[in-house]
Amino acid sequence: MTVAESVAFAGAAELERGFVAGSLSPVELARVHLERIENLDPRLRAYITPTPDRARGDASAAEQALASGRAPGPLAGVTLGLKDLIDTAAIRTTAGSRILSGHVPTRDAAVAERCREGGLVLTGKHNLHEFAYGTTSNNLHYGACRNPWNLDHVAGGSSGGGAAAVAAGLCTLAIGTDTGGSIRIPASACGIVGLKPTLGRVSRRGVFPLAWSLDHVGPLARSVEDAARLLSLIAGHDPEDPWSAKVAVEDFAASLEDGAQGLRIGVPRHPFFEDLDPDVEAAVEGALAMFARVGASVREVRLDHGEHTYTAFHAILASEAGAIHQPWLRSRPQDYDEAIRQALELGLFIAAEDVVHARRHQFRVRAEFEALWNQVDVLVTPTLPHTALAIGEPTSREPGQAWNRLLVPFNLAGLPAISIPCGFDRGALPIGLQIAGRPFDESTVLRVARVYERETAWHQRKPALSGGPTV
Amino acid sequence: MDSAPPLTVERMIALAAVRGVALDDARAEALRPAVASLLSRLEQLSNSLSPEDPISPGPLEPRRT
Repeated sequence: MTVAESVAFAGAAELERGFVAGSLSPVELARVHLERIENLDPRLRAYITPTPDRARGDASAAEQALASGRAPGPLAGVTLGLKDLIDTAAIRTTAGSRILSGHVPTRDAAVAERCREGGLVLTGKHNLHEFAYGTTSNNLHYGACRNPWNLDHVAGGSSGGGAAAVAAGLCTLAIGTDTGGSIRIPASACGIVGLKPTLGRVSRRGVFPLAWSLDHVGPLARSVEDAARLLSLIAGHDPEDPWSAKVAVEDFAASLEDGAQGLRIGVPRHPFFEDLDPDVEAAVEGALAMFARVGASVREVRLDHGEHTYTAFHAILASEAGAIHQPWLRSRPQDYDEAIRQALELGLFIAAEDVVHARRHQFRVRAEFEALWNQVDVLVTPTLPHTALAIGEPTSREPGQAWNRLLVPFNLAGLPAISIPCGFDRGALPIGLQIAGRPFDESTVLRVARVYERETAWHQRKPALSGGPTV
Repeated sequence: MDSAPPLTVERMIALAAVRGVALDDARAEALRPAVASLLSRLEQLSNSLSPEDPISPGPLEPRRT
């Protein structure tokens, strides 16, 4: 690995140490990442709008702050990209759509504001599935975001650009959103860490909504520690987001090394271990065996109401998304990708009583999880039933076939859930492990994730960016 | 109990029109399988609920370990 590559793939803690010791500077880090964006992104399509001038300015400011001993936080000078539905003042924010292709916000979203105030260096706005309504990031308007492990495959979505950019070393950290798996899907598909925090943990003010009651904002990173550090920066109550929770923010990296002793891990085999790709199943079974070996208690648990969960999720998602987009469905329907338009039109046919029934099931799901927390501390499942699809391969929203079917229960219940690298399949594509926990107990979720990460080396592998088109 | 009327293309176009969205025959026909599948699954979901199953999960709260 070259020096530039080792800088490009360094973790936030290592970068901080380098900045403080003077062996590395934020300006140098930004230069390395901007150069990689220029050279690699025409093939990867992880960015819709790179922001090199902004990055150089942010990096210079961070460097000066560090030199004067007034760094605004531990992530000062570290590079970051934001999903392009997160408002950035004076920087175009498209939501991956033609409809908002000219939208230039006048104010940063709350999460963008926190990153800026924390001294992070903005490298640009990341590609996504149009309006975050899909699982692949095959974006008709800005190009299909490609998987760094095999450019002929999807990066996953909807936060595909952020995951691909972090995995390929085009930035250190990214922020995504997750309505039905949109952080964890691309994290799993691209072999990195993606955390959907508890509903209400991170403000959504200034983030273009897909479905108000299901949307979460969270970090994408190459290590559990980096994800924890970024969450510590972006979490916290925001009076401008009515869904934001008044819950104290802790240092989420503080208990990462507490180990497995005393942990109780639940394994909900039904329905989470059904119809899995054999390579995924073997990797996850290996992870469960590892947890038992290092001292955790691993036991099977039951979830009885899984049968209707995807349907309830789909009804709530389609009705809320349909309500958001109805004005444009009337006035600009031709400006949507046809598949997105159809998904939105489906919301027209959901009756009010259907949404009521879906909400009643949501309560049932939440109560069922709540009862489980008396028995276990976390649940461990596969993130995805199979690895990244080839670009162009169809996806499904039918419950039995949907790629995100193992993820949506945690959106419906609002619980924190992380995906971490857990191996590779026979086609050398990454496999993800999902760990979910109690409301606002991200610390335990991260601790369990770190136990696995410490025992394995999957997160240290680097993608070759092979295959795909030549540019 | 009476079941819902069949999901015809004409009915779909009329329902969309109520919401101010124009849908032609071809679009309605293309959408019909997905809509029918979701509505059928929603009916099964509603049949699985008892009157004691309430609405509105309410806000999440931290839970002590």
